[in-house]
Amino acid sequence: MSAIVSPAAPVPFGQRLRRSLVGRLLRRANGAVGVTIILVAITVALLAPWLSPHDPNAQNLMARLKPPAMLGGTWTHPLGTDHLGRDIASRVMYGAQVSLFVGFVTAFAAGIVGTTVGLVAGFFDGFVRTFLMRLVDVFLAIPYILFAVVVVGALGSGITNLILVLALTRWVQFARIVYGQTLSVREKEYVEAARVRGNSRMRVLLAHVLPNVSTPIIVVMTLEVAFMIIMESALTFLGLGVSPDTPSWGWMLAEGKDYMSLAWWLTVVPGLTIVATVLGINLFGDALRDTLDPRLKL
Amino acid sequence: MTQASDILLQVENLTVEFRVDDGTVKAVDGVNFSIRRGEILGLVGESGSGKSVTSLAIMGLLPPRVARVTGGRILFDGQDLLRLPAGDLRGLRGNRFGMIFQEPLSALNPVFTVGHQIITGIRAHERVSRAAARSRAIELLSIVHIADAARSVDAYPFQMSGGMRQRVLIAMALASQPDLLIADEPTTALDVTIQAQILDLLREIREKTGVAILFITHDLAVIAELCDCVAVLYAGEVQERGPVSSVFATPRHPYTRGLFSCIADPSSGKRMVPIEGRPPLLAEALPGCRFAPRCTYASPSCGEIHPTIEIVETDREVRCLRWQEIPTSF
Amino acid sequence: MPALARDSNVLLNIDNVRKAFSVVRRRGLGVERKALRAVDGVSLAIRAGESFGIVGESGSGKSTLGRLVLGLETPTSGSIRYRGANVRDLTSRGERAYWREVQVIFQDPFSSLNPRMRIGGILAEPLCNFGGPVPGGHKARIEELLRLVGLPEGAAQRYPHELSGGQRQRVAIAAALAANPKVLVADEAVSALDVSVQAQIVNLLIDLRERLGLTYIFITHQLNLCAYFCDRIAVLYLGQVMEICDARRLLEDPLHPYTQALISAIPAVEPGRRRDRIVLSGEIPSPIDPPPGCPFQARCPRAIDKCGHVRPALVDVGDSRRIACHVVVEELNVVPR
Repeated sequence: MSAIVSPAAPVPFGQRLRRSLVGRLLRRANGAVGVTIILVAITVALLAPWLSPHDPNAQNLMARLKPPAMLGGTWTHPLGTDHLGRDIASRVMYGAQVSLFVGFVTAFAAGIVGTTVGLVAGFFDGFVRTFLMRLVDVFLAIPYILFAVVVVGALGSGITNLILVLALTRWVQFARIVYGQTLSVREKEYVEAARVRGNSRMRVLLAHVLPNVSTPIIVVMTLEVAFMIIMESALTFLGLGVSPDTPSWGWMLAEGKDYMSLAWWLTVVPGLTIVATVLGINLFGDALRDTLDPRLKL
Repeated sequence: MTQASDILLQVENLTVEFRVDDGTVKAVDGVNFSIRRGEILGLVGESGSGKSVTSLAIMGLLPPRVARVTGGRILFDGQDLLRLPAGDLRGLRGNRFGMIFQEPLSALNPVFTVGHQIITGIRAHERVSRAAARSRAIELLSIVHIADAARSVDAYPFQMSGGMRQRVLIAMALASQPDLLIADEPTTALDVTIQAQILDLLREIREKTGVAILFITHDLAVIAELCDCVAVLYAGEVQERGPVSSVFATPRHPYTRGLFSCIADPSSGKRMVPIEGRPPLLAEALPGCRFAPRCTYASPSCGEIHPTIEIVETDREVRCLRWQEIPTSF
Repeated sequence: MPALARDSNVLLNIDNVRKAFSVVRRRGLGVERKALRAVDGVSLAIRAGESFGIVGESGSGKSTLGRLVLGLETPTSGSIRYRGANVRDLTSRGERAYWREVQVIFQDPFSSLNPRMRIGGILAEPLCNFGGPVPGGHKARIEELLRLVGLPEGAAQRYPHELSGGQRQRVAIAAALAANPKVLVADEAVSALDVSVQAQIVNLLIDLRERLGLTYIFITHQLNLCAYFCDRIAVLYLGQVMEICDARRLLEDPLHPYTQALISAIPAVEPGRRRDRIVLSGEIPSPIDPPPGCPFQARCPRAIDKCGHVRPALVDVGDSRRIACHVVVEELNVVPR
């Protein structure tokens, strides 16, 4: 009888690691850099209470607008202080908590909602599909800032409503992608075969269709985290996001903009942090997509 | 005696390597064959045999970063195609030799009319006016028996059936009166009755224009219908080669014999005898004969010694250690 | 009513089944709805234990017919009865009992298995769905099924992409057998495989037929293969049956002009044996809005005036053969019953 295709001999661990998803990811330049940046960001966010040199909300009017250590300041405040004497480095670290939290949670929430809608719209014909895809069209037409203004006006500001706004804005990205994928997977023979092998429609949807549309979802979700971080900063900057008591990158930008000529580091430091974090996530997302794509024997 | 000038295409010791995760594999390993002017050679093999890769190598269409020719020569009318500068190769391709592919729908650009595509091809190689090219296109369409050629020249590919599209491809390939046609599984995707029409057409074209054809397929019956000579490929190597009449009457290689016994023959009542096992993956570099694991005539030395090509008679070759001991009748 | 349909041995009765799909085409600023008649009035009776072949080229409707038999589509008109019960009722509203009896093997070994599931999981599904959960899992039965189709035990742990095309097709057969069916619908089950592997799978199907007493509906475009495997064959053209006959006899003595042309078009493996080829002019017409009369008359070398107006009925011409052709039926001087 013919042998199975894969080698019977055990593959050495080093080779398994190299060939695994993580290994292939890290071999790419963008993968390695992206993963590093993300890990740094997460670590900093989690360990902020221990890593930050000062209390981010501690005001010290004696030490206002001090420049970063490299540019004439002292190492007490390595990245300088803002207009209320608060240490910028500490605020950046604590700000990471907000941004990353919002980013991941909203991306996840948008992903769940969008995937469900896309899956159902793609799988079922007729009224369900038409209705859901028209819903997608409606949401696509809403500018998110306007939406945020309305929601905040009605329900007040704060992190929960911020998450609500962002999730309700971005779920359509997932819905469209999953819809397209579902339409094509639905035609595959194994989906029809699954029916003939006795599976209920629901089981076919969940056990056969969903796992096979999930690969692009992972990549999109990664990239959406980056986008959410930017949107959060923007909304907070406009006063529609988290409350002013919470240190967040958006607030730092908002408060610092008045001091651009005097103390540019108030905006540039949080701005660069946002850029770096988003860049890291995007690089990781690209690397993930490239790694998963040709391997799509799965 | 074959005159040297008779030979139009000579593939000598061709080796093509593909890049994979852990290194490289040889898709084509030391393949030799030749085609004379006006001759139809069939290249037959299953998956992994290297037949498509061979044709891509001849045409210079191997995917650049993934595949490389690492050995051998491809002599077209004396010139080594592998050593030609890209511009010269482009001048030959589509001009002195034309190509027909398996999927006519994907080989034709859906947004341009059929006529436009033929005309573009003509004007790429000859300096002719648009009007002259157009009338030549209509002439070509009627040569390939497309009904109402004058109107069909303005049709779009999606308006045509599979058989008609394949005829268009043949017309495009014939536009510059090439010496050689390379046809990579041109009838595999077609219905049987349409396939019969296309095979008849190719035969007719050979008779009228003397063009040589390299016909790649997995179907032995098509080879019997159309080809003068055949080369049987397995695992990137030529296993048997010779005139169709001779090879089909007395196949010498166990793989060739196996292929014949696989064919369903309902009238004889004989049972189909499959070849056990499966065609090898490129990555499995075996010592000894590549067919040995599946061969019913294999001896222990077959697994150790790699057989070289041996001459059976004039123009007939086989790659098998034991060919003389194998019975030739079924 | 033809004698065959009253035969108590008949498992599957396909009675004047039609399946039309609506096709929307742009016409100016609006749209135009046309009917694509994939299956256009097919009547067949398939007996228990027989291997019934359905042969046709593109547009013949053979795949659609297969899907109708499987209950994956419902007929626009006409009925398909399994053991007397309408398949439509057997597969509607969550009913899955039909598939306990009738299973499928699809064409493409690369897309007929869920790439995300292990082989063991794929086989366990029908076992669970039709047999109910078993304490300790279905391990024993899975191993038995793998043995039955000639796969090693270790295969259960593999993913489909780790297997070759032939091996995947064996898995598909095992999954079909897991339900303990009486009928297997093989829709071009070997067409996508290498020639040497095709023979392996066909022989496997023959072995299973002898061991398990299965009834096969073997859909293919390869007439030679069909005649080798099947007892009876129906030749389809543009959604209609042209000829039904015993397999060997069909190959040796085809009567319908289309069958004759089809057989003569098949290339022969003996070089030099150039058959008197009946070359059909023109292309296979589209099943959208077909003209009246016989579907084959546009290309038929023997068509008469009547063929363009009156659709020929499927007539029993004796010797268990039925033909839909005015010219041939008249020639044979048969009185249609």
